[in-house]
Amino acid sequence: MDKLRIMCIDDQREVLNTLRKDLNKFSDHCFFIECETADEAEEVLEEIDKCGEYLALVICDQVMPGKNGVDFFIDLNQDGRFGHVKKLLLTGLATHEDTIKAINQAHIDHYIEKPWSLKNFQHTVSILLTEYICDSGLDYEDYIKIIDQNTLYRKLREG
Amino acid sequence: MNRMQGADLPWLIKTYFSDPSKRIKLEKGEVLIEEGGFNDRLFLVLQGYLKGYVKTPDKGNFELFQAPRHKFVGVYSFFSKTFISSARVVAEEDSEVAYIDPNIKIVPSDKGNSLFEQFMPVVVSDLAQRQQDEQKMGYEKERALKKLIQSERLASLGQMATGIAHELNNAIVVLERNTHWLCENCAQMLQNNYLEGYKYFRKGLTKGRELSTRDIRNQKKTIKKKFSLKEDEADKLAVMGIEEQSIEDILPNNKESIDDIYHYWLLGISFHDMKVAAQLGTNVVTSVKALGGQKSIQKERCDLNETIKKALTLLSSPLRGFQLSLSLSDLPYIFINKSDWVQVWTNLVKNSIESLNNSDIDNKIIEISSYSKNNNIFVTVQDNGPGIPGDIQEEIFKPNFTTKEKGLEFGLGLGLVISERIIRSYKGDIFLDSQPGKTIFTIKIPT
Repeated sequence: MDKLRIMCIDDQREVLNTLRKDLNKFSDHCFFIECETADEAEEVLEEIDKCGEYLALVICDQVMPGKNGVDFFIDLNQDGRFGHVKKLLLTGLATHEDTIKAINQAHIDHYIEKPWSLKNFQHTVSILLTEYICDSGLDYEDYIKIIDQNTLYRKLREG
Repeated sequence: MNRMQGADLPWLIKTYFSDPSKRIKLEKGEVLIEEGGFNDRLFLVLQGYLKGYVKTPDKGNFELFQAPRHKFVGVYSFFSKTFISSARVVAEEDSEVAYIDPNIKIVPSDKGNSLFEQFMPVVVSDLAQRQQDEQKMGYEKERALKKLIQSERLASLGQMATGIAHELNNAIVVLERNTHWLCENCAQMLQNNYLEGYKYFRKGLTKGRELSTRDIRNQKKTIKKKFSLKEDEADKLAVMGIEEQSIEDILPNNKESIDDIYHYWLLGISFHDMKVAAQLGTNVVTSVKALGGQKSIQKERCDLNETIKKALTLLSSPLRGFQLSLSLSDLPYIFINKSDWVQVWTNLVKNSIESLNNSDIDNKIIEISSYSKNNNIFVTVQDNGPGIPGDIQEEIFKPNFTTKEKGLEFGLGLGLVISERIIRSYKGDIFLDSQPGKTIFTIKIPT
């Protein structure tokens, strides 16, 4: 089984620490990549592409120094190399304008507000990972422990 | 219009208003005509200053017109021949007026042979002037009203913020105290039962996460190769910031030991982060309270630098991504209301932030310094923004002057005005020196 990668981008280390703990239940199947700015994340994306690794999910804060989360996602969305990657915006402060942009231009897959609830967060991650696994043609049986059943059935029905 | 008036007025005065028996002297406050009262005279102000008032529905007085020297009063009642005064005319200072009545003997002139023809140019110009004044007054009243609404809105926001801050404070106190208690007890238990775990718990607790994500990635690569580790093992050791010599001590054991110490380290940083967050919350709350303008707070002797730090705590979110350079010297304590000064610094720094955010400068720098010299404290707030153009440097201290265009701000162009008023109330002064790339506000406060 190839381990998937989950990238977390937040300029606050305390938030990265928290995400690390909240994502721990996926750690048998996923590696975590942490970045403090969108610029740093873009560098790491190059490495991931070079090594041909499976980037399944990017969890990104909105308000950061430099490029903000939505703008980062817009660029990622246009980057053909990461077509299947799931985009989760995690934020406590996004304006109405940001939100519209996030939907229309960045095509984010999910939006979670800070503070988040552990159950809801893990469930969302599980759904998004399942979608990624199906979309990119991986064998879901390898990931059965982290898969969201309902999403899997839906995906299988859709073919 | 004024030219016409200039041409006719001297002739009119000489011809019709030179009869000493038809003059009235008024003392300040004396009423010339009552509103709605009988008046068949046309008055000319020779000296002093009169004003016309009408009663408003709520029994107030509304100023209808002003009549300084060489202006006419009673124009409506005289020429419309209603002979009923539309306003109550009062002398604002000791004044003298001359008058004519309908029985006046008409002196023919090239303008015509009736009073109406002769007076028309001046009267019309007078009325036009009055109308213009009225429009201006109306406009200014509207502006004043808007400003009032804005400041009331700000004041109620301030009060609301103070209330919310108080509630939040109670919540934070509970979280902070319980975090502290849990942490002490965990530490004690670990120390008694599992010293190895305690060591990493302690590391996480006291230092938090020490390395940047970039350093962690580099360290991970290095140690993964050097010790032939699995990726997740290398990741855990890297994020803990464990030095390479120590890794050699850990490795003879097995993977479980890495997982184990990582777990205790996580426990430690959790408490560390909770304490940091509680402290941050407390700082924000006290700053909001200070800003909430509890004006009843007594002045106290304190260090002005403290108010600068409070303001910066409040602005820590908008300040992200800025290079902030602080050089605060020891200052003599002064007798102040802290909230006043938190507000001053907040306004000034916010100004810099906005100016830099509206520019395309990459390296955004804000420098704040404080020092004392010759019985004065000086504080400077400097930024490398595009600067304030010379022609508007005077304007920025006026109410409602704002360069903001949009955004989440509820700034209403009152920031610098409020700051200036506060500074003046402490007999201080504010100076601006601005050019592209270097804008400095210097505040001087006597000690």
